[in-house]
Amino acid sequence: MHAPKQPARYAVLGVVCALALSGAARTRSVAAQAREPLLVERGTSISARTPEAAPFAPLGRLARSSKRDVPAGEYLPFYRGNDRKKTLSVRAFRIDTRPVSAAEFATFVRANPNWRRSRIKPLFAEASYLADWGRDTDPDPATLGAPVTSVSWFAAKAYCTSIGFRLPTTVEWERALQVFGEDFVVHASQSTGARSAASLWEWTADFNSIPIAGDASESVTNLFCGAGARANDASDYGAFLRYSLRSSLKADFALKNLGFRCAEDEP
Amino acid sequence: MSTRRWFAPAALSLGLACGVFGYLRPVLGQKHGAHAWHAQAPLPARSLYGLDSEFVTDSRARLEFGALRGHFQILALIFTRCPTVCPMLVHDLKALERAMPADVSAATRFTLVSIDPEHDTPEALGAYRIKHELDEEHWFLLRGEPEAVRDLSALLGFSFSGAGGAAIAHSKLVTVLNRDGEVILQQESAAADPEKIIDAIARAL
Repeated sequence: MHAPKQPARYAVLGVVCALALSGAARTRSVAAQAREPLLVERGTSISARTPEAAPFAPLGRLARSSKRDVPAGEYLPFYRGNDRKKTLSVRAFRIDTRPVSAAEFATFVRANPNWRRSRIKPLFAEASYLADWGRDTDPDPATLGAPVTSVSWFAAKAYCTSIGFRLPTTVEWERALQVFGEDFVVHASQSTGARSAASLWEWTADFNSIPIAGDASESVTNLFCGAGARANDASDYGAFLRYSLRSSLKADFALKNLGFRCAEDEP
Repeated sequence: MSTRRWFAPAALSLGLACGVFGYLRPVLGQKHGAHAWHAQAPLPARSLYGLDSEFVTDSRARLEFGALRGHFQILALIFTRCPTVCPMLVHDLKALERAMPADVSAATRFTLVSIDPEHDTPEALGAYRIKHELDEEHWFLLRGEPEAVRDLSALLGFSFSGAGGAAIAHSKLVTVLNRDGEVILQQESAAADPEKIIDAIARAL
């Protein structure tokens, strides 16, 4: 029996083996992900997996923070288009009472591998994206309850979309602050994590625009030429800082003191 | 006998090769698009064509953003109701096109994306094309869903606001993409330094 008598049988065996091997290689990564339990805030785990083909795996409303209603009202923007004071009317909406936590964001990246640190497209987040997490899908245990930071605008938006919400607009965010006062703002030092940053900033849907009340569509050029002399209330230093920071952001930035929360239209 | 001894391992490796090919085929044969460029190397990491957004042209054709790959693109965001800035921008871009040497012009397309998708229907964009005499071969006029437009403008660093009743703010920002969709130049206005745009493309040809 030096040589096999039925080479055809070996050929078939070869094809079958190779196909099986390649099939295994293809499913391995999926299987590896499936083995990791999904971490939810209270330490429970869920094993349900959704196919990767879906743009966002629905997480349901697990471990979601509560939302508060913000009634319809008027908002006087920090900048004004022309020389008169004019308010913007803001429709009623609901917004998270606190920024999205690291644990909540971990459930999202586990279910949506394309938003993991190891897989995210460089177009959608700079290299510092989730850089302080111990592992690809795990924040430092000490910071689980703390607001997630080092997330890009694209990732923040994808998170909110994945659970049926959206990012608040700048006007909505500012309006919520107006309604709820200082309770609304989270300083990084208040959060459970040992973050030393002075304050926590937050993404908004239209961070790269400046809400202005006015009619002239050309007014933005005037605004920049006027260099800050156009504030409705120049004594509002907090607003000045927020608007300055927002206008300096780029959508792929992942900064240590920049988080986000989600909002939705009034049902 | 000797042929037989040789035949078994050969059959086995042929089988393996078939299997490997079967595994790689979906990877190798990705997306045979209309453009020959599609078949080439994977997108660079910073290519704007990493956006999976779909747009509609003024002739109602669906266009994946990545389908712009293969030409240099001069990209600008406009809206047709824009009173003065956008017509000036389009005027400047047409002047830029006329100033291009033939080889640069042949490799370049102009893509105008509306930031006012609610109002800028394909019909409105079609009327805009006629009004500004933009030829079909070199000029794309695109409408996208608000999210797609927001993503694109965020990547370009272009500011506008639509919500809250605020006026749509805009600039004359012009972005030049290479054949793979990477930003090679951004300029506040096409009229500011058209030679620089032409040079950037000519050097990358």
